[in-house]
Amino acid sequence: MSEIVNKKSLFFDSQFLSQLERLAILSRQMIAGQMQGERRSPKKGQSVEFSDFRPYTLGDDFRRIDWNAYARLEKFFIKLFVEEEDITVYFLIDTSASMNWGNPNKFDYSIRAAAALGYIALVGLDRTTAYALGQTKPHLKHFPPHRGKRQAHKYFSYLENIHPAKELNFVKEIIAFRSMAKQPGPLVFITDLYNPQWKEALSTLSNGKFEISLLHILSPDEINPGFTGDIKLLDIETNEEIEITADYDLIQRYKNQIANWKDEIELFCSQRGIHYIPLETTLHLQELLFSVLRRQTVLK
Amino acid sequence: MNFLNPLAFILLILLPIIVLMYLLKLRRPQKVVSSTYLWQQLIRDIEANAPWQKLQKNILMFLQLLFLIAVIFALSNPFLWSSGTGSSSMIIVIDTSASMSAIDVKPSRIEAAKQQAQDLVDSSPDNTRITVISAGEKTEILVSATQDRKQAQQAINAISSTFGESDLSSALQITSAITSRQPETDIIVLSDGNVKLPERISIRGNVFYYPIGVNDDNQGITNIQLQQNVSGDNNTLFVQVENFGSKTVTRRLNIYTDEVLYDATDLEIKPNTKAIYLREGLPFETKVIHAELDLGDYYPRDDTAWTTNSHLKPVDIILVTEGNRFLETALKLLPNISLTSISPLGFQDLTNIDADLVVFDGYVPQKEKMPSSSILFISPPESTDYFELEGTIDQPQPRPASGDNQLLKNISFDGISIWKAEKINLPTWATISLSGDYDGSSTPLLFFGNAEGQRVAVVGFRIQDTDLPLQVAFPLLMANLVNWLAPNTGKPSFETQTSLSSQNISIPLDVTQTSILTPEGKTIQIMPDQPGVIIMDTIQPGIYSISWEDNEPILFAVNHFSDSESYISPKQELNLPTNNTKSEGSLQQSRQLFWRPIAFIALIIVVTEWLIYNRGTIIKISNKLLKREIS
Repeated sequence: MSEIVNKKSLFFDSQFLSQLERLAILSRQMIAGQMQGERRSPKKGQSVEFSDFRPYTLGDDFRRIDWNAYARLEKFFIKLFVEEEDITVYFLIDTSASMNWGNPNKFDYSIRAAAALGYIALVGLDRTTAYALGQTKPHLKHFPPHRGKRQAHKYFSYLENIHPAKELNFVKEIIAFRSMAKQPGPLVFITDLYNPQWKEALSTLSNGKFEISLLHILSPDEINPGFTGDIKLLDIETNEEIEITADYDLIQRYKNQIANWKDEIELFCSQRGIHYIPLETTLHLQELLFSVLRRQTVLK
Repeated sequence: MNFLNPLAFILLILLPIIVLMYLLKLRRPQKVVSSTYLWQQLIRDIEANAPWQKLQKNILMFLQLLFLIAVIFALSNPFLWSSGTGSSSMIIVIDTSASMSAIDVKPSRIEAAKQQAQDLVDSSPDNTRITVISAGEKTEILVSATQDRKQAQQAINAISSTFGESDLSSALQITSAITSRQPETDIIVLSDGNVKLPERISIRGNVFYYPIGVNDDNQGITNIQLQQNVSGDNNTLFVQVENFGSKTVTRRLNIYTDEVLYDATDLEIKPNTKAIYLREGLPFETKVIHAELDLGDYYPRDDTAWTTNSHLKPVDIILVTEGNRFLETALKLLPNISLTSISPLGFQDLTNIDADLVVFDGYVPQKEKMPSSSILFISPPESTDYFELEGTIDQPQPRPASGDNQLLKNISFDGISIWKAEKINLPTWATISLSGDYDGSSTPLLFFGNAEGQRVAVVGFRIQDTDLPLQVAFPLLMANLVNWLAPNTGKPSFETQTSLSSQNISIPLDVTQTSILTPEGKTIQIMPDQPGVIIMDTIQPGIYSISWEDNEPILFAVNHFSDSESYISPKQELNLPTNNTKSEGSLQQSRQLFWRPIAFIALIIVVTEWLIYNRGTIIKISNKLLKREIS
C-alpha cells in the first residue's frame, strides 16, 4: 500500500485508503463472473459453502462423493458447493467541458470519486473497468478490467491522465460503451447531465444489464447563480450564447427550473431502475463515501 | 397650454436614442457558465408561456422614456393662462338674492356663482388677499382680506341663496372703502344682474362682472287674495300669474284648499302679461289656500303662494259723542275694531242699531232708543234704567277697588287728578272698579256688571275733566273695557302678508306667551310686547301659525312676491356708476406654472425604475435583516 501511496499520492493518503478498504461495492444481483473471486455466483463451484447434492455420474471426481450419504442411502451423491467469482464494476465518467467547472471543480470531484470507488472495487477483488466519455485517445477512453489491490496504481494513473474533453456526443459514446461492456455488473455513472440528450443516453444505458448508480454532480454556483444584470451567458462546452437580464425574478425562476429538472431526472431514473444520487461538489468526499453512498446502498 | 421654454423639447431627440440603444442591445458583459442548457429552457418557457413578459423585460426602458418625457416637460416650463385676476387683493361679491336660486344653469345660479368664485380663488396667485361678501337683503362680509384660501373656500361653500332682493349698494360701499386703501384691488361681482345698484359710488379698483344665468323663462304668482263675499258665507279667490319670460307659455295652476286639490286650470300667458284666476264660492270654513304652478320654469320659488282665510268679524263700536278726540284715538288704536262715531242727534235718527258695543259719551238716549248691545256710559248727564245720578262732586280722589280688579289690570291711577265727577248710586248688578273719595265719603267712578243679560260699564267722569288721556293708563283702560264689554269677538285679523321683513301681530293684551309654528316646522316661543308680538323670522314663505293658551291657532301666510326677483333674465352687463367695470372677457390673465408637480412625477418614476432594477438586491437585504431579527 505504501508503494501505491508513494507512487500515486495525488489522490488519497494511506490512512484514507485503509478506511476505503473496509467498504465494498454492493451488488443487488448474483452475477456470474469470469474468475474466482469473492462474490457469490449463480454457478456451482468449490468454495467452502455447501449448496446442493446431485447423483454421481460417470466422469465426476470421485473425491467429491459424499460417503456419509452413501452409507445411509447406498447411492453415490456428489456434494455441490457455491461458486465464488468476481464481478465487473464499471465506472462511466463524463469528462465533457461542462464538467470542468465550479469550485470545487466537478471534474476533479468526479475523478476523485471514481478513484475512491474504483479502489474499493479493486480491493474487493472485483474486475474494475472505467470508461471516460468524451476522451478521444483509446488509452484514455477506456481502462480495461483489472482486479486486485496491486492494480490500483494503474487505475489511479489512468484517471490522472484524463483531462476534460471539449465536445461530447452523449448517446453515441454511450452506445459505444455498451457494445464494449459485455459483462453485467454494477455501473457508477458520474455526470452533470448538462446535455439535451440526457434522457436518450440514460435510456440506452438502462437497456443493458447494469446496476446503474447515477451520481449527478452539480457545483454550488450552478444551483445558486451569483450574477445579476444584463449579461451574455457563454456555454463553455458548446460556445452557445444567450442573453439574459438576470433580475431577481429570473434567478428565482432558474432555481425553480433546476429543482424541477432534478425531480424530472429522479422520476426518469426510478422508472428505469436507476439509482439517482444528486450531489453538490461541496459535499466532502469522505461524507459521500461513508455516509451518502452507504445510505443509498451503493456501498456497504 | 403654453410653454415658457419650448426649446427644451429639442431634448425629445433623446427618446429614439434610448429606444435605439435598447434595440441595438447594448454590449452585455460576457459570463462563462458550464452550460446554458437550463437557461435556454427557461427563456424558452418564459417566451412561450407569457408573451407579455417580453414587454415586462423592457419595463425599465418604458420607465426611462417616461422619466425623460417628464423631465423635458418640466424643463419646458408649461403654464396655463388663468382666467383669474393677477392682483394681490381680490374682493368677491356674490349675489344671494332669491333670483339666484334659478336653475337655468345646473345645479343653480348660486351654485354656479360659488363654483366660479372657487375657481377664481384657486387660480389666484399665492398671497392674494381675498375678501368674500354675500349680497342679499343683508350684506355680510364672510371673510376679510384673508390669505388662507381654505378659509375663503369654506366661506364660499357656506353661501346659499336667500328669499329677498339683493342690494349691491352696501356691498359696493364696503368694497369702495377697501379699495380706497388698496387701489389695486380686483372686485369680482358674481350676479345675474337683477340687483339694486347705487346711484353714485366711487370705486378705485377694477370691477369685473361675471353674469350668471342663461335663460329668462319664468312665470310666477304675483298676487293671491281671498275676499269675503257680501253674503259672508263664502269666499272669492283671486290669483294673478305673470309671465316674466319672452315666450308665450301655458302653465297649469293648481288650487289646493287645506292641502286638498280643489281646482286646476291651464293659463296661457303671453310674455310680460298677467293672467288672472278668479274663483267664487270657496267654502267659508276653508283655512288655507295654496296655489301652485306645475313645474316648468327655471325659477320655482315664485310658483307657489299661500293665503289664509282670516276674515273674522271685527268688533263694531258706535261712539255717540259730541266730539272726543282722546276717546276716538284710544278706540281706534285697539286691534280689529270697526268704529263709527256719531253725534247724539245722529244717533236719534238711527233706526237700526247693529253694533257689538255702543259708547255714550256725555249723552244718554231715550229709553226706547237704548240699544240691546253692550253699553259703555261715560259721564252720563242723567239717570237711566241702569243707574241713578245724585249730582256732581268736585275733585274726588280715585281709589281702585281691592280684590281682582278686572278692568284696572296693569293700570295705576296714582297721580291722576279728576276735576269733576258724577255722583252715582251703585246699582245692585254692578261691581265697583274705581271709586272716588271726597269729603270723607265715597262714590263709584267706574263700575261694570251684567244688567239682565246686558253688559254695561259706567265711567262717572268726563275724560276731558281729567289728565287720564295723557297717561299710559288710558288706552289700557279702554282696551280692558272693550275686551270685557265685547268678548268673543274681534280676534286679531291677518291679511296675507307679502313683506318678507318682520311681522307685527296684534294679540290680546292678557296673553303672556305665544307659540309660532313656521312653514319649516320649527316652533318659536315668543313673549309678546304690548300690544302685539313681533315675529322676526318670516323669511321662509308659507303658512305661519300662532297660538296662545288654548285658543285655536291663528294662521297667516307669507309669500314671495317680487317682480324684480321673478324677472330672472340675466343681464350681460352691469351698469355700475364707475368707469372701470369690465366684463368677464377682459379679465387680466395670469400664468399658472406647474413644472413642480411634473418634476415630482419624474422623481417618482426614476425612484420606481431604480427599485425595479435593484429589487433582487433589496429583497436579499430585507430577507437578511428579517433573519437577523428572528435570530
